[in-house]
Amino acid sequence: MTCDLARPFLEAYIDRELDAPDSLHIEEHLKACNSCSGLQERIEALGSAIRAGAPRYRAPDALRKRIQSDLRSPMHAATLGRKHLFDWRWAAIAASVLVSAIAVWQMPLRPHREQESLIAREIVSSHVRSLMTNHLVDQPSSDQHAVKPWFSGKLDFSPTVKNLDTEGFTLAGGRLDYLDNRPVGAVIYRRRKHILNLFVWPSSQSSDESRHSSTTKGFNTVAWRTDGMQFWAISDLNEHELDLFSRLISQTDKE
Amino acid sequence: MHRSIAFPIQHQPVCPPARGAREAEETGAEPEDPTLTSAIADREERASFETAMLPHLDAAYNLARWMTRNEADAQDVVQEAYLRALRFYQGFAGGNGRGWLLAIVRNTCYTWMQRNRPLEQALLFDENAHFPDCVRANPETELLRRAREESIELCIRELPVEFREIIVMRELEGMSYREIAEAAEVPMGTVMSRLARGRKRLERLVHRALGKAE
Repeated sequence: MTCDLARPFLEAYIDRELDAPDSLHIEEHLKACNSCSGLQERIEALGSAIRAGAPRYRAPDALRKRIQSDLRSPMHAATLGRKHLFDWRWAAIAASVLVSAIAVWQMPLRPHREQESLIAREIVSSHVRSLMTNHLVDQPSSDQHAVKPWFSGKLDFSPTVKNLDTEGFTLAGGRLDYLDNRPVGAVIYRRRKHILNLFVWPSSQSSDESRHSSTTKGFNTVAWRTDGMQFWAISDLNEHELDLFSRLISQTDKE
Repeated sequence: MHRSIAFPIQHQPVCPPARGAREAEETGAEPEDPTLTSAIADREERASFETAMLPHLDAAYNLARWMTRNEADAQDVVQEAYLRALRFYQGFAGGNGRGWLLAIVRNTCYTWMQRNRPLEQALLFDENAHFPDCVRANPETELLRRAREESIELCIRELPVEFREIIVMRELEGMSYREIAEAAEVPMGTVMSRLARGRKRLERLVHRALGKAE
């Protein structure tokens, strides 16, 4: 057997992938050929260097547990699995492209909306932050007579705090926040499982503005201005209920 | 001489239509309580999947870890791969299952890399043109022995991924050519040639690393 014939099978021989007769042929050639047996030694040395020096990584226990719980959760694996690593990222990219496109399109057309959309963004961030960081309320109470006085001394105005329990909006407490370059009052209500943040601060504009709703990042917001005070209500509640809420607040406020 | 080779990226593992679904369509038989029956079937399938595939978790993770070269990414990829594998499980023909699972892990890795590290999808060049195959005598064997604890890991990390994956499957997982061919979804001949080229290339990297160290 010549080198030309033996070489293509040398690795398969080393990896024990050849059947017995073929192995014998290669072995015979290796005995006779220094060049090929030198190559064999190098390949084998490389193999043992890899096995000795390169780790075979073991799956962390946390990963094992995560996969097990994935496999045992009835919803996750079969239906949501595909979305897990893939779709949401593309969806996020698509969404941000869309948002930027809308922003670019709207900016020159509606410059006066810019300030408001800036605030809307702050409102959303503040709302999300309040839900994420376990800092929903500074003053937890369902009693408006406890929440309202708590604000005085912390703010130079008195935010509207109403008991709307009978209408299904339970007062959860008050929180100080910072929006539109100033400290603002945040009054928190709950409706079923939904959290509702009502931000209140004195407006720089004195004219009243009627309620207008919008949706940002999946949250519904309602904004209005009464008696020099700016109101923003935000929640993942549906817009009808949020609208009801805003009417109740502005209504009782006037009484 | 640069010879570019198109990079084989397969987005989805080969997955024949679900066996169960096909049969149900053909017979048109309605079970008495479809929800209950499918819930039981679903649970049995998950249990069977777990028994067959969870023992290969280390192999799956090791491959993903070497392919992505990153612990957190490897974990994400493997978790995703198991969910994919469960979806395609009805297409699993039985047997050891390691090659079948690793094919999915590997595809998930490529999809992941394509999305997150497009630069790594660079064209390959024919390393024979750059590293002529000159057979030298055996001081090199000695060098390789010394390389063991020092730089072999770093050298493997530097290998282009399509050689790295084959080397890892062969040397660290001890997989047969047939199993590697199944996992890499290429013919055995391709496994052999990639393995040979990968080894040659790795050897060069080791020599270079040792040369620098001295």
